[in-house]
Amino acid sequence: MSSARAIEFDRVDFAYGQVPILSNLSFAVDAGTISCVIGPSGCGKTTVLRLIAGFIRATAGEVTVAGKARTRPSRDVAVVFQDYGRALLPWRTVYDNVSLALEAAHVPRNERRPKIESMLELVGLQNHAKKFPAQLSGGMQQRLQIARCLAQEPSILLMDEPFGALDAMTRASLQDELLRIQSQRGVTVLFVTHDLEEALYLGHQVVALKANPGHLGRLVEVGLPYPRDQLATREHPEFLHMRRELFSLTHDGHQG
Amino acid sequence: MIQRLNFNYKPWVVIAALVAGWQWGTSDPHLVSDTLAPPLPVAEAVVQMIANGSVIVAGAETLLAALLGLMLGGGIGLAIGLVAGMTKGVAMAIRGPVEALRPLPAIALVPLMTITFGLGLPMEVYVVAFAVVWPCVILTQHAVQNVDRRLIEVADVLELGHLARIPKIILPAIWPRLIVMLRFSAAIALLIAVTVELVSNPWGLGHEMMVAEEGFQPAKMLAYLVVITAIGWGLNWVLVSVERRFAGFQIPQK
Repeated sequence: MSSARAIEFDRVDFAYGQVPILSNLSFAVDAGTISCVIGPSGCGKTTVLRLIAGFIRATAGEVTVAGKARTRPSRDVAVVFQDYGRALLPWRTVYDNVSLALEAAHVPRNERRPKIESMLELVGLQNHAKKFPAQLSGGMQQRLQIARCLAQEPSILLMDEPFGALDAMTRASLQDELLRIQSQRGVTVLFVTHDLEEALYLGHQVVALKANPGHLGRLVEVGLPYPRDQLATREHPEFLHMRRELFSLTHDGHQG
Repeated sequence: MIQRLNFNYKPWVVIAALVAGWQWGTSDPHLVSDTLAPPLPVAEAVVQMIANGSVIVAGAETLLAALLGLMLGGGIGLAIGLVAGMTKGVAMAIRGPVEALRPLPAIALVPLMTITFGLGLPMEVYVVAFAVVWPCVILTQHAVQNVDRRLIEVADVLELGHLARIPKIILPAIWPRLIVMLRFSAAIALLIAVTVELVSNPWGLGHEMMVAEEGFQPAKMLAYLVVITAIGWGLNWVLVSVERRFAGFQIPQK
């Protein structure tokens, strides 16, 4: 079992100076699955992601990725930021933004083109390769960031409220694309969101945090079958049941 | 309706008025001056100096010293600023020395530089470089420190080394500020080059101007002043064009 653990939190505390952010947090993510972290604002969702990314280190306890203690960022853990506009290089075209990941991985120049083209095709941007990020819609910019993250061939994809700034239609289609890409590539996904329904729709597992300081509220296995469907899954009795169960944990402005 | 002139004539009216005032104020035959000459003889002197090539040689000497000093000081300043901007430890280490040396007027180094390197081009280049290096260190360092933290995190996740992230992330991100820095430093470089020539270096426009002054040739002296102004104006024009052309990456908006 432990060999299949992609991410493990073992009694993790995190504090900024004297301010405790996370307290005694333990959970594990199995390789090749999608785990969604939800909770009210200020519960430390993003801190969980930043600990796994290696941007920050636990004050106490241990964060392990593939069995190794996490100390600094590395290419095999990609991060999709919510603010795609800040995470893309505005002076590079769509094509060259994806190329950045391959350049960083020292992929020889002549091997880059097919990889970049297949990544752009995967996220549906093959006809926009020569555009600059500023010429794309928000949804397309986020697709581009996902393409760049996949191009670095990570075993883990961390996503920090990636669809939070997008309209409902774009969000739904990107959710389905994420599910398709994840099942194709078998990458482990940790998805931070404040949207309970999004968490239940995407995840094999939902990690529900409570605030002040952030600690584990509930750890829920989502038994819904894949592939999921925007209508059928959201009307599934199990979905509605879990939504009701977890609703009180996320009193974060979701009036249902 | 009368179509508006695209050409902005107003500054030229002011300049013409100033030249007319200059002519009127200096044309009194009873007034003999060792420092002032009417505009016409000055213009004649400019034409003559261009015709015999003397101003071309002197101007080339001044520009050469200014540009070499700019490249040397700007290059060193950029390198130090990049390292200090990317590494907190280096930033802390250089802060004291930079603040101690920066207020030192570069011109005050002329005697020391003359003793060390003698008169001539190298001395002038070093003084210009000294004047330029500090603003370049500070401006580059601040520009690097202000690069969006998100881009640095992207570079961290991709495990881009320091050497790779300079050309791929840092330089493109600070490029617009670097162009402004270049314009700013070029003005300083020309100022210091001419001043070194006025003070001691027997070379360039500043020196020719001193010779004209000491030879009681006010028309010639003022002609050099006109030429120096023109060069400063020309240099700024070139750099503003560079800034317009390259500062914004020419990214088309949606």
